[in-house]
Amino acid sequence: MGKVPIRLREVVYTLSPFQQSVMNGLWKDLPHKAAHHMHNLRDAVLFCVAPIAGIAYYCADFKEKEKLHHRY
Amino acid sequence: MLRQLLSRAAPGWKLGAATLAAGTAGLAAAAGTALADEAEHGLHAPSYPWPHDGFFSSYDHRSIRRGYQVYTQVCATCHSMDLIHYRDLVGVCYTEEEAKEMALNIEVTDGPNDEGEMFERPGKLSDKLPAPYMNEEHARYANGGAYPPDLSLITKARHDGQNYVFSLLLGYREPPAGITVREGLYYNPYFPGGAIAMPKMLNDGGVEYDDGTPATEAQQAKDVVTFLSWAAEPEMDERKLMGTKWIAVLSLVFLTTVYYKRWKWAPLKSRRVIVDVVN
Amino acid sequence: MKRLSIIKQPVLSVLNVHLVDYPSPSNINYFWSFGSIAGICLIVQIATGIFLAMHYTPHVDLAFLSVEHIMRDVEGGWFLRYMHANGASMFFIVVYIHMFRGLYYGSYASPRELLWCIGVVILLLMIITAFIGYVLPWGQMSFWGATVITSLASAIPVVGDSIVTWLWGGFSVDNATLNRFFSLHYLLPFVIVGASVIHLAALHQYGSNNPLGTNSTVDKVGLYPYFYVKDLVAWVAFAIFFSVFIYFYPNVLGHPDNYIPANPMSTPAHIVPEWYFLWVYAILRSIPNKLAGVAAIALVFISLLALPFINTSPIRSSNFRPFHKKFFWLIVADTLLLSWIGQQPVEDPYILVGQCASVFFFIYFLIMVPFLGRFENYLIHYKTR
Repeated sequence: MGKVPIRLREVVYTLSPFQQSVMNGLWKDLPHKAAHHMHNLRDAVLFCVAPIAGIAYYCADFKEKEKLHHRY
Repeated sequence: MLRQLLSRAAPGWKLGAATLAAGTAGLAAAAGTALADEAEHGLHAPSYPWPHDGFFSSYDHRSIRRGYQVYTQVCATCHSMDLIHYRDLVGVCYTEEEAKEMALNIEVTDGPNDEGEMFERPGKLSDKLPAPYMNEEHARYANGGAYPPDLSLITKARHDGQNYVFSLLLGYREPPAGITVREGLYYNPYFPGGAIAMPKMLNDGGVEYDDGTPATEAQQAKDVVTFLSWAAEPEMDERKLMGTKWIAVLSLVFLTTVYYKRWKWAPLKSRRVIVDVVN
Repeated sequence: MKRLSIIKQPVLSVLNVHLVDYPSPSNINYFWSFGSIAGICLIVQIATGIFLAMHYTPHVDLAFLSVEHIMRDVEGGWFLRYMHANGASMFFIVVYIHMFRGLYYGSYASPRELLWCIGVVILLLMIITAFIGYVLPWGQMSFWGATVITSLASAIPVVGDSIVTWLWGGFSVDNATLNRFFSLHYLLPFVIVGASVIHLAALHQYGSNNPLGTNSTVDKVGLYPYFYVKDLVAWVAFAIFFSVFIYFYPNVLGHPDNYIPANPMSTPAHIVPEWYFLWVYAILRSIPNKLAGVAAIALVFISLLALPFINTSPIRSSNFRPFHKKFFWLIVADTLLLSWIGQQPVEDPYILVGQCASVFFFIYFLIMVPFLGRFENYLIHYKTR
């Protein structure tokens, strides 16, 4: 029981070449796609761009303070 | 469940976009802190709008010609340009006749001849520009221990070379209060350390241009830097022209490949696959 | 589909199986093109390198001049050299993206452990090849880079100094060093070709991974025409990116000091390796002890090699691993940070930042990779229980 593999049949339905559009899909619903990508980029921004920007800011700030400290 | 998974499978390009953004942030930060130690590395040169800097800009060849005159009349007394030959000037800022004429004015040691002797002959197009000193030791001896570097590659061999050389040439001034410069050195904030062995060489009217351009100090500096930029990158005009053509063509090829890809993939993208159990 | 019988001929049939009819998962995205782009980079480097070698002279007195001879007097020489010099950078950009793709989508996970390990070996070979290639123009950075990096071997106890002398072929970086580096720089690319063929063979054992990280055999389509046309888009985009560097910013990735002929008497203010080594260089410099620094570099590559074996996640793609996804972006940020720190002088605050970044690098590979797999697995079962 249960060891017999289930026999599957795969049927592929395709459109006629005359019904297919080649380029439309690229710009169809572009604002939605852009928003979707932005949403997916959230982790990258939070965990890649933000730490680098933060640490770069820290270093620049450190250097600036050091310079001011040496000045007087 | 599977559909949910599929819809959450993010398209790949976002990896690249984020990496690029992060890289840009890092670069911006690097630019900010690179200015930190100006005394040690010299004052950072301001950015000047060189006419040949743009994507589609070529050298100002009149300026190269004037710059060559500045080099021969001023710089060449101490600085060699070992990688530049008279032939290199032909078609760039001099005609073949002019260049041959200039080459004739120098004496070149050639040989050995049939008797095994070295001999002097007038210069030819294939000769290098004459070097002021026989070797480094000679140059150092004549310049109080300092070695005037060869100028063939100078704008490529210094950070931000063109702006650096330009600023350096015009950067001589009295040392600020509290700073003394050793005998034989000159104060120049753009030079690493602030004290340079080269005295101020460019002065208004110090050069005579054969095209009648008023030879102000700044004009000479601009022309000689243009000449030195050309000497360091003589291929730049050809390079940019070739690049413009090549990238224009590649962009068209790119659009074609995008269409080609989408055309081939359209049947795959618009198919529906039904997997069913066979009873 | 009826094919010409020529495809069934010996050798050609192997090429057909692996490069034409080869079935690939239908859902792989453009990040899967970076493998073939890396192959193109290798071919470009070998092709330009062979022609450069026809004009180059590996001698301390002539090497710098022969490179300038190529740049100025050889017809199209500047193009060849700029393509070769920037091609090395392109190769590393492509390979780093290729590796991060593997990291994100779990391409190294079982059963593709060997595939990943061969890739790490290729990376090592590339690093050695690029390093000794950078010595050949015999500029200031070539000479001093070679001196600093080969001297690292002196950190090895007892035999260190003998190894350095053996590497140099003398008592300083000199003509013998330049000659052997040229010879090895010609040899190693062909070793990389061999390793790449093995890499490809290992890939084709189980086939490509895919962005879902699921069983890749569900829906496959032929490499030709589908991935041929898709890769073509990526190749042309890459060619445009590459061209911008060659034609408009040929020296932006290099160091100006390398246009000063090598001079053993004068040390440059800062000795900086090529940008693609900066992340390793930063880890090396973060540790004040030379031997420990060299050991840390060894540990970097050991961690990379160990990655598939210490990974505990049954899920490959980070799209479905919310915790790992965040750590993936952190390790990307960490590598970029290390690359930035690597070009800064050794002073505050860069020392501290560099040390933290180095520690995080090892925390990710040696602790987070094994831990996150278990942790996420625990959460899944916690939810279903």
